[in-house]
Amino acid sequence: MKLICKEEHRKLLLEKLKEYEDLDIVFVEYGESYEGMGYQFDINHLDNLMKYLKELKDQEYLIGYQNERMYRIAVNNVLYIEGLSKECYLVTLTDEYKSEYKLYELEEKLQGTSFIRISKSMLVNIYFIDYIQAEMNMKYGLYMKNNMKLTLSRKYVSDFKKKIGKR
Amino acid sequence: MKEKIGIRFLTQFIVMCLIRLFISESYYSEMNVTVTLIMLAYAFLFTLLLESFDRFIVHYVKYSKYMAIVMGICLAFLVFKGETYDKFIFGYLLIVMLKDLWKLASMQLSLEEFQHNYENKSENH
Repeated sequence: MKLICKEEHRKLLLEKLKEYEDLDIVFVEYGESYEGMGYQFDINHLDNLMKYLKELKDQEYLIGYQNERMYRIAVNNVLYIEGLSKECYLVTLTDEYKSEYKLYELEEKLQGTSFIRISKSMLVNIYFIDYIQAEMNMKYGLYMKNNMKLTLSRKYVSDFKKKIGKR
Repeated sequence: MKEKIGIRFLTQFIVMCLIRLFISESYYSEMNVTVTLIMLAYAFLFTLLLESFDRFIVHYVKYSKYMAIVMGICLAFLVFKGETYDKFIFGYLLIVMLKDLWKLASMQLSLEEFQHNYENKSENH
């Protein structure tokens, strides 16, 4: 978190925004200048800023691109993420978006959510798995709620079981 | 999928042949074309049954305990009452089904529990 504000407000703001220190965002007070992209706020309407921050923290978002347009996609709406050689795609129930991140970066970013790696090139949202079937060579077939089938590789089976808390 | 069914079919056929080798007093111990065809038919039916059972488990996972009890009773009945050949063949089938039931049902139950907890967590937020 980066704060661009009047010096007399800095102490109060730092105290208020303490729990959001880990967010990757720049806050810019009205009247202050900042050359990059930042979230502008009014010191007299701090409740709006706090509401926005709470929403941002509660529901994580990913940025996806489609037809040269940028979309903010809630992590909870992404079924799986597929990493191809140079690109990474976020797949939702209805659409597919290109991501600016690499698969390993997304894996790190999504730690602690319902995402887990199931193969060298794929992260899956466990919430969207309908049922599991055993396959050959200790692999598993993950049948998604949109009737797609993904494969859980042998290498990632134990992590997957740990994640879902299999007894 | 085809690969899995193919290997499963082959496994069932090999098991049938092995069981036949070890049961010398039954009709099936003879080595002839008819018996081999019967073995193939058994292997085919068992493969179909096991595949269907795998699908069935995940959709009725909440009844998995009762399924296991019923299968256990069938197994016990076979051991005490069945003829030697039936004991081996259907005993083998029930054990494979029990193994699949345990493997898939425990995974499916954990998955559903995870999803349920995750949903609650999201709603609380």
